[in-house]
This record gives sequence, C-alpha cells and structure tokens, in this order.
Amino acid sequence: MSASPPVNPRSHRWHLLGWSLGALLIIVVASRARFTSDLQALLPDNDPELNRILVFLNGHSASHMIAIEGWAEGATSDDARKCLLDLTPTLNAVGAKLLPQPSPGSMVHLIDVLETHLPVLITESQLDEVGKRMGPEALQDYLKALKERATRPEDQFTATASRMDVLAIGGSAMQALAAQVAGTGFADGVVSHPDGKHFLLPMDVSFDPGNVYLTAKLMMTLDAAAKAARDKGVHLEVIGAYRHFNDNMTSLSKDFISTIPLGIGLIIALLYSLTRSWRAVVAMHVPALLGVAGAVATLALVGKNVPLPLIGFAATLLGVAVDYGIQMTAALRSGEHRHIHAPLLRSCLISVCAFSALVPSPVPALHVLGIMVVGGLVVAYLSARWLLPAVVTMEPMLDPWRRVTVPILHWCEKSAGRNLLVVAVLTLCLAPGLAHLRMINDVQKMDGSLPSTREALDRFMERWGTLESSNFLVASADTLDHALEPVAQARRRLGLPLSSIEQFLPSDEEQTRRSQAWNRFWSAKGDDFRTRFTADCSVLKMRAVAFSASLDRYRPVDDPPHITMADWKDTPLELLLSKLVTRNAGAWQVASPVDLIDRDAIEKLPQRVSDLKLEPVWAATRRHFAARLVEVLKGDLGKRALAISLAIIVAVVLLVRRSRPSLAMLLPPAIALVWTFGVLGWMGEELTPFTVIVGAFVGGIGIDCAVFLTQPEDRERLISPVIACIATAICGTGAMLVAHHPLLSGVGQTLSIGMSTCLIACLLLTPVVAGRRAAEQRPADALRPPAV
Amino acid sequence: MRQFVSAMLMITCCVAGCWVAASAADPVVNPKLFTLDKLEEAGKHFRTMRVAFTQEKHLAILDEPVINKGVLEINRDLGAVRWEFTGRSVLIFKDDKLRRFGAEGKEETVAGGKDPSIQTMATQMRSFLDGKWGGMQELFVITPDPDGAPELTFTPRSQDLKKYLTKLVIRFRDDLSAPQSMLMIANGDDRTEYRFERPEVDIEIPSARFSKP
Repeated sequence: MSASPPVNPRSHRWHLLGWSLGALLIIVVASRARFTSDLQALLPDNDPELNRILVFLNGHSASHMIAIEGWAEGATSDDARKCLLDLTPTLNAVGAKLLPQPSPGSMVHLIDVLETHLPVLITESQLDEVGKRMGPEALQDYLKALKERATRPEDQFTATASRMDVLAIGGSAMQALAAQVAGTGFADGVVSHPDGKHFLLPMDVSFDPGNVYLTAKLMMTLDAAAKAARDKGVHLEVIGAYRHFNDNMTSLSKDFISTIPLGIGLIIALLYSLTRSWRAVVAMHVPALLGVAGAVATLALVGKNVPLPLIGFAATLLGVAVDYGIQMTAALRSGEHRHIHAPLLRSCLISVCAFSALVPSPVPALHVLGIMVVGGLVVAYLSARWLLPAVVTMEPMLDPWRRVTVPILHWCEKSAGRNLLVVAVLTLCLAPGLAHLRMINDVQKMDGSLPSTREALDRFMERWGTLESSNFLVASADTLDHALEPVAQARRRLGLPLSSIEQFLPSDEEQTRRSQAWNRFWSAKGDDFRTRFTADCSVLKMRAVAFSASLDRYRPVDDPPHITMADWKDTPLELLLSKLVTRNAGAWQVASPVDLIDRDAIEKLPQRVSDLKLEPVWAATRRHFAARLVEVLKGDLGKRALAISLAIIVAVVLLVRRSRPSLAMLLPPAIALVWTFGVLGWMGEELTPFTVIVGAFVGGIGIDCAVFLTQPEDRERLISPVIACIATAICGTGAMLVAHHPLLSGVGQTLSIGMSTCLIACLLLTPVVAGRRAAEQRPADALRPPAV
Repeated sequence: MRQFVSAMLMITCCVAGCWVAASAADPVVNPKLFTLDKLEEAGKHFRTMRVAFTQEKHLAILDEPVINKGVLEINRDLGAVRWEFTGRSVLIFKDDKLRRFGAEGKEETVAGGKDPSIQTMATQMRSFLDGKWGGMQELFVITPDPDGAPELTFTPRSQDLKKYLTKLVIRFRDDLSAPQSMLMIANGDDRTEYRFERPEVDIEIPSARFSKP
C-alpha cells in the first residue's frame, strides 16, 4: 500500500481559512435558530383521532392547575390552613393565582336561579330523595333539626334562607358539584376536607407546565415553602402536572450532569490512550461539534424550530460524527489518509440515505430529526474530509492498542467456520427474544417522576378524588341541545352519575321530562305534605305561614321556564359551565367530565363509548391520548424502519456494486440489531419510540464499522480506530445506564447493548463475508507498524 | 339538607363578613363627628375589656323570640377573645385559632374553613383584637345617621342580597370605645339584635378564661 501524498501547507492554510469562515457562517446561522421546548409541536397531526383529542385537551387547558395540600404534623389543623393561606402572596409572584372566588352577590344569585328553576333542574331520583324527608316522622325530625340550627346564637341566616326552600331541594342539585371534590368548606380559597385535618389550596397557573424555567421557579418556591412549613409542624404536598414536569426535568438534568462528565472522561482517556496526543484528541471532535452546529443550522435554514427535546439526540449524532473524526485523524497521523476517503464518503452517504428516510415522516419529531441528522452528518463529513487535513499533522507511531486489537482481528480472521458457528449460536439464542418484545403501552412508564410524587398523587386521589377531570364525554353539534342530549344519554347508558353539565344544563327534552316528574310528584304528594307540614310546625312551635314562599313553590307548574346558559350568568357556575360548553365556528361542543379513579375503567371508557354508537359522542381521556400516540408512533416507526432499511440496501448496492462487500456491510449491523432487540426482549424491556429511533443509530454506526472493516488490505490499520469508535460510543452511552430517568437509562441500555453487538458482529462477520487479507500481507503486519 | 345549609352558611359568612368589613368603610359619615380613624384610635386604648350583651333573634319561622345573653371578653396582652353565649356555647379565639365549646363545656371540632359561620366569628374576633376593619363598600350603601350620631346603616346594593339582608344598623357608644347595639334585619322581618352593656375596660380577667369555659 502506498502512503498518501505529503500535505501541502499552503493549500491547508487556504482550507483552514475557508473552514474558519464556513464554521463562522454555520454558527451564525445556527444562532438564528428558534429553540422551542414545545412538546406538542412534535406530536403527529396526521391521525384524525389523535388530532381530535389533542385539539380538545388543548382547548380545555386543564393542566394549568396546581394544588397544595396541607395537614398538621405536630401543629394544629388551623395552623395547616393558615400556612396554606400565607402561601398565596409568595405563589402569586411566581405565576400561581387563587382560583376566582364567588362573591356573596354571585352566591345569592346562584341560589335564586336554583330556586326559580327547581322543576327543570331536579331529576326524578333527586325528587325521590326529597320524598324521604317528607315522611310522617322524617319531616318532623327534619324541621326539628332546622329549628335547632336556626336558633343557634351564632347562626344568623338559616331561618331566612329556609323560608324560600324549606326542604332544601336546591341543595340536592348542588350535590353534583360536591361529588367532584371531597371538600366540604371553601373559605379564602382554601378547601377543607371532611376529615377536618386536610386542607387544599387550588391555584391557577399562568403558564404551561412545559415552560421549563418558570415551572422550575414555581417548584423551587414551593419546595422552600414546604421546608419552612415543616419547621412549623405542617406538611405541604404539591399535586399537579407541574410537579411531574419538574421531576422529569430535574431528573434529566441530574442524570446529564452525572453521566456526561463520566462519559466524556472515559472517551478522552480512551482516545488519548490510542493517539497519545491532545491535539489529535481535540481534532477528532471537531467534525462532531461542527456537525451539531450544522444540524441546528440546517433546521434554521429550512425555517424549522429546533425542538430542545430532540437536541438530546445530538449526543447520538455526535457518536456517528466522532467516528469520522477518529478515522480521519488516525489516517492523517499515519499518513495514509488517501485510503480513508472512499470508505468515509461511503459511510456518510449510507447514513445520509438512511436518515433521509425519516424526512417524509408525518410525525414532526421524526421529520425534524431526519433533517437535523442529515444536515449534521454532511457538515461532519465535510469537516472531517477537508478541515482535519489542515489541522492534523502526520506523526506516525506504533499503535498502542495493537497488542490487543491485532490478535483479536487475527483470531476473527482465522476461521470462517468457527465465526459463523458463533454467530449462528448467538442468533439462535437471542433471536427468540424478539418474540417477547412489546411496545410500551403505558406512557407512565416513561415518566421520570419521583416515587414520592406518585405516592403523594395516589394518597391525594384516595382522599380528594381527582384534582381536575382528565376524562370527558364530548359531543359537537349544530345546536347546543343536539350536543347536550346525546351526551346525557351516553352518561345514563354508561351508568355514570350526573356531572355538572347534565345537572345544571339539561337538554330541552330532559327539562321537559324533569318538569313532568316534578308535576307528578307534587300532584301526588303536595296536599299531604302541606297538611303534615302545617301540623308539624304547630307541634314544634314554628309558623307554617312563614314558609309560604316554599309551599307556593312546591306545586305542579304548568309551563316552568327552561334554563339556559344565560341564566347562570353572574353565578359561580358561569365559569365552570363556560369551560365545558364552548362554541367554535358555529358548532357547539359539550364536554361532560367523567371523574373516574379506577385505571381499568378509564382505559375502557373510549371503547365503551364507541360501542354505544351514539353519534356524535366520543370519549376524550388523557390516557387514551397517550395510548393512541404510542400507537401512531409505532405505526410510523415501522414504516420508517422499512424505508431506512431499503434506503441503506440501495445505497450500499449502488455505492459498492459488488455482492460480497455489500453483504459484508449490510449483514453485521442487521445481525447486531437482531441480537440487540433479542437481548432486550429476553430482558423483558418494553420498547419506547426513543429506543426504536436509537436502534436506527445503532444500525448507522454498525454500518460505519462494517464499511471500514470491509477492505481487507486496510483492516489491520483500521481495527484500532474502529474499536475506538465503538468503545467511545459505549463509554458515552454506557454512562447513561446509571441515569435515574427511565427514558435516559432505556436509551443508554439500548445503545450500549447495540454498540457491543455491532462490534462483535462486525468482527465475526465482516472478515468472513468480505474476505480475509491476502496471505502475503499478513506476515508484513508485524514489520509495518500501523500508525495512529 | 346539609348541602343547603352549607350554602346558607356561606351566605351567612359572606354577609357577616360584609358587616365586619363595612365597619371599616371609608368614613362617609360626617368626618367631624365620626371617622374610622377615631373609631380605631378609640379601640386602641385598652388592654382588657369585658362587655355583656343580649342577643334577641326574632325569626319569622318561630312563634317566640330566641334570647341569648352573653359576655364578650378581650385580652390584648394574651391576644385572646372569649365570646360566650351563656348556657349555649363559648367561642375562644387565641393565637389566631378558634375553639368552640358546647353548652356542657365539651370542646367541639372546629375544622378551619369547614364551617364558614365559625370562620366569620373568627374574623370578627380578630377584628376586635387588633381594631382593624377591612373595607367593603362595593356590596353595601353605607349611610351615616343624618343627625350625626355614631351610627351606620348598611343597605345591600344588589337585589339578590336584599332577599336575605334588608339592612344592618350598627350603633357605637358615644366615646366610640365599643359597639352599643347592632341590628340585622333580614327579608320577611327576621331580626337579630345585639344590645351591648357598658364595657368594663382594663380589668383583671384571669388568663384561664381564655383556655377553656
């Protein structure tokens, strides 16, 4: 093999100048990119069902609520309540505000509306409950309790209020609201639990939980408040999406901080041990760094936002790009860089073809990832090919790894039959693991929330029920009534209790049904009731005549006024109902909250609603959204995997145009992927969309290795850089194994296993398929020191 | 019933809160005779106070009025208020906590915001202690006595509120040291009247009075 021509210093100066300008340009363009942490922008919008739920959930902005629960641990209950109240000014400063509180006027107006519309608001079953209070003994007991309450010295208005609705029939309607939260009292924004011990401060937050910076600030403030409260004997617990988001971000940050320095340290140690030159180590990383800048600049050039969550994949891109740097630097230092040009170009083109298959994906995350990686790889290749020769000088030296790598290579080249046997055995053992592979179907498993956060949520739900509904029955129609009626019907058929929508805003048909029931009820029982009521009042020394407003109300009504949204104006229910009933582009949409805690029931709800075949009712649940998202991603990833495979095969065949070298490049990474996912299957790991994408990178790096090892004449010179490439990737990704976040550790696990299997497959298969070196070459190996 | 009573209590809470707050309303009365500053200033000049009162509830639903007698005691050094309805109940407000004792002296659970009525009492007792009254004119028209007497009449602005509370009249003692009477008239002529006796100021009140009945 002839050495590469000596470098021309003048030409390199021009290259260096050109690249300096080019790098500056790339950095300038990259700096103009718009970075975004908006996760929703990455979600697929081509699936009508997913899109429908997403649009609905976005419109409800339900996740903008946070609740702080407090209870005494050594202090008194009042201390706990006061502690929560004292929090409000501090939390106002970080974007959390008290929920709008009903004014006395609005509360009085609410009662007025209830009393005016009793015949159309009270259901038949609620009337049955009222009937139980009207029995001979029950009525007298009821009136006795009322009198006792009204005569309490500290009570001032029970008597007045009871005169208008003595049986508290309006209160029956309010039970639909009471069923939503277990709280019994609401004062100054703090809700009290019936146990008298626990208190809740629900607050509205002005920003999305995805706003990483503001969420962190909010949670830091709450953590400090919880610490201060603990010193006073009060326990504070934060409930809501903000805590989960913050847990995830904190976990990811901590993991990055703990794993990246470890990974970098190991990589630097490895590369230095290979090159014994700091300059070479730095040079090896130049293509990777420029590649990442190039990836961002490419997105900026095509007018796309740069999603911060995908920047995490820059690390993987770095892995591929560092390979170029390692190979080129090693070749330049040995003075044999001319021989590396072809495999380097081949490797880049194959990777570019592979990732180009992601660009047409309708899933924005994959589409953007495809553009980003293609742009980054091209810049990394160009810089490796034309910039590194300007900064790396020829310094031939004995390969320090040679004592280990060359014997390994010799062993792998020695017996094709043995290699194939090992590969066959490994494949037979690991391939059945593929049958055990499952795509993740519970998004919570990707959640990096702390166990304490989940436990707090579980305890909270046991105590209070749901903080806010994440599940709804939804219907849209041309008129409000056409949306209300089917939703109410679906609710009845599903055996669900009335929500505030069905209770306070019944359809016209339902209002007619209720008023008919009202008339039947009072026609049958009214006279008896009035007689007994007058008698009982007399016994209890109460004046029946004072309740004439109630008695007048408790009669059949010929044509009771129907209730509409407008009637609830200026009452505390106006805000609640306006969130559940919306009108967009002429269509009315009704969302009836379903407060289910049972996980199984929530999962089955969409199917149960669908089985009712009650158009246009459908179920919107966050759990269904997550499951559908995984389903859509799974479907698209399957197509992309096929497209990537085809692209790689076509690229290799076109570039190499010989069957054995082509097979030598394609077979090892394919076998490595089978082993990797087989191992994951045996380990019982569930695949996430991220592990599948990572699989593509494993295939990419595997092909790179195979490309370099395919040339028998260069194999011994290239074996150390190839192993270095894989070893550095394992160091970088293996460090992620200690991460606490399930996503990060999952990615680290897949990459580590994938890289290891790639190396083993390439060493065992490439020499066998591509052919061994000529016999005359091998003795010379000992004489010609491979340089790095 | 429980829901209804809760709703009613909430109204009670709001309305009574308005009373407390309205006391602090801007001095729309003749400033020469009766100002909020004077009211607050007058309330600052005692360490302890005891004032007996009679509460008469004339409720339209009952044949006979309900009469309760009681004593209100304040100890600013202890930061405590005792509001006793003799033979009925005792409310003790101390260290910003309210405790309620029944007729037999047995303590009943007072769960913070669970009972808005109790919370209202706590608010009133807190105001007695620190002499500060919040302002809330938006709900009431506050009319001073036309003859310049230390009397304020609160009339609800909204028609909805008028269905429950017709008016509230508070008369203060001439030296503004304490209220003299308070009359709440609800719709249907439900009337609750408090008549306060002459207050005893800076007397010895055993601290044990603020611990239990």
